Amino acid sequence: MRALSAQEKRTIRYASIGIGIYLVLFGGYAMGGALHRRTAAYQQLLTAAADLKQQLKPYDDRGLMAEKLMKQFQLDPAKLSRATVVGEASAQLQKAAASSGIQVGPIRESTTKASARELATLQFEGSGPIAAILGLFQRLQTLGYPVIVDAVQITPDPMRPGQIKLNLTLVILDFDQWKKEDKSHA
Amino acid sequence: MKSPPLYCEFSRTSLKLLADHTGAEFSLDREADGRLTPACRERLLPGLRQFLHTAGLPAKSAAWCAIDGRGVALRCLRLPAVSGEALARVVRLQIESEFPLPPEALAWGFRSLGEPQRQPDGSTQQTVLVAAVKKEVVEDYASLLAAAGIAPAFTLAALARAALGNQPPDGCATLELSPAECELAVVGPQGTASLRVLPGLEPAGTAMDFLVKVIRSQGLLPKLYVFGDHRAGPELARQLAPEVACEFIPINPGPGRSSATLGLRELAARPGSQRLTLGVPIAAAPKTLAPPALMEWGLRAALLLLAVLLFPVLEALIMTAPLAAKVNTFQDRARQVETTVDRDLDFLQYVKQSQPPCLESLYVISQAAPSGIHLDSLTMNRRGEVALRGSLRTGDQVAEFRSKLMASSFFASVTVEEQTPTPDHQKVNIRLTAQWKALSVLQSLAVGPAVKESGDATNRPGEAASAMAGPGASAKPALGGAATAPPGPQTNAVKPPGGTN
Repeated sequence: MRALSAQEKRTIRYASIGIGIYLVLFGGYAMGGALHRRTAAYQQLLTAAADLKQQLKPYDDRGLMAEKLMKQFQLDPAKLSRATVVGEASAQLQKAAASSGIQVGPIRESTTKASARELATLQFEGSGPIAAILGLFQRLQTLGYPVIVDAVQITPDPMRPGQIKLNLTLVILDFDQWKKEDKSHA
Repeated sequence: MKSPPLYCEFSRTSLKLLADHTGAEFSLDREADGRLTPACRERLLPGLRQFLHTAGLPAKSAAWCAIDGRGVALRCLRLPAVSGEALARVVRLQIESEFPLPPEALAWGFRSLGEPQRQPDGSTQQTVLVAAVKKEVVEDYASLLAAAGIAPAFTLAALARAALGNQPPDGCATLELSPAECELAVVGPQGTASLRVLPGLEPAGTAMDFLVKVIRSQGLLPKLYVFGDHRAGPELARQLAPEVACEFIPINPGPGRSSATLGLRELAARPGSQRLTLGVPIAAAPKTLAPPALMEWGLRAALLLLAVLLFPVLEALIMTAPLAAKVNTFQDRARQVETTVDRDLDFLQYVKQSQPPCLESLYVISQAAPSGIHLDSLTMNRRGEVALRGSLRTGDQVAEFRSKLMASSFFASVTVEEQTPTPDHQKVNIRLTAQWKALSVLQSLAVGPAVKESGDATNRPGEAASAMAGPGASAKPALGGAATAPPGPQTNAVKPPGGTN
């Protein structure tokens, strides 16, 4: 093989240096671009995490508020069963009235339209002293069921002086309607 | 042991340097106290650097340096047979007790002479040769060499040149002859040692006699090796014979060649040879940051900087996948939480906002009701419609009752639909309808009995109801009887805006 001349060696050396510099620059540029993209993606993730944190921040307060209302009404919506809520609410109402000192009269139950947020209507009749009536009003909010007073009628009890007669119409709310609303929103 | 590539000798008047194939000699100028003059140091530095460059030696080249015997104390000590650092501590204690200066002020070194020997009392002792010189002497030389890029280790020229003779390790006697001064070193096998700097051999007559007298005073010397000016050698040998046998060791002249530098080279080439090194106390060593330490710290700083720059990139490379998984998980969970919490809260708020204020309404009516009112019927519904039927004593009471209901701010409207006096004009039958204000407005009113009324007026709602309970249930007994009943809306224990009667 022919020996290379000094000029050829110098040319090869310069070419090698040039190619090496090109490869280093090209590789560095490509690697820098990849790293930059990766860093940018990571920054986006960090931003998403911060946004998520901000998004969930109000739910601290909303959760506390829901917890406070659950304690106030002694009501846990997650435990409500549509099949049994009317019967259980009726039984609880009679129990509260009896324990308040009210003589429980007839109770009528009727269903409402499915489109409404109400599940059923209870008509309660009873009579008793004033304190018992007021006590029952107070306890209605803590029955543990979504019961809302629809109408109240108070009249004297002609059969028993000193006693008053209470005719109470209650509405039992249908929690499933809220679930449906959520699904429709989703 | 790796042999150093450079050997030096500091004599009174010159500095000799000997490398493997080259050498140099520089003249020295000293102050009155023996230190090198600043001008001499300035002159020497470039010469030393040039010599290193010429000899092809790297920076911080190690060098063995021999110093002359001026100001050096050389002694043999008999010490307990210990080794290592314990021996160094024992020697230091001996220096403290036997030398005029403390060890901190000296550059000192030692080496064992021969093997430890058992004594008649059963103990084992060893003989140690100790040399010490003022540390300023060594520091003066060391600073000069360090500035030139040489890392020196010092020993005595007298001990170095002894390596050129065939002597037992536990004893030697050397004499360096020169016109200016002579140096006699004797390390005897009997545990004696001395190093003396004597006048030169000019004029020959008196100096030779004195030299012979001193050598004879050293006792029985096995052999005396003589270096240097050999012109006086035969006369010296004749005068010392037959007690002392003299052997002349010629030194070929050349740059850097002397008995000391050649002796150092011989010591370096002799494996296992013991060398007495004069050490400077550490506390007195010049405190400089060596270049290797600078390099090390610089490297650490560079690594730290690189880590700081690369950290964001590495964080992105390592943490992207776990963070993405975590964010996805939390997004799913967030949707679930949002759905559940929103639904529950909406439901509960609906329950709360839909509750009609029946108790509050009774409270307001009882506050507004004039005395003597008789209620036949009271009806309320969720839409806020209130209907009341009853009787009052006079028409004025009807107007007053209505005015108070309106003033309570609880009702948006109050209508007396019918008021009919009874035929005996003792009562007025009324039929009254009213409409609550919106629930949101009523909630902001916070209607209810005041705290100060809690003892009795908390049950005021019962008054309205008691008015319809007939003669057997008048207001006062009703209040008394209601004392055991659950209280009214105490949570809203604020007076109504309309005030109480």
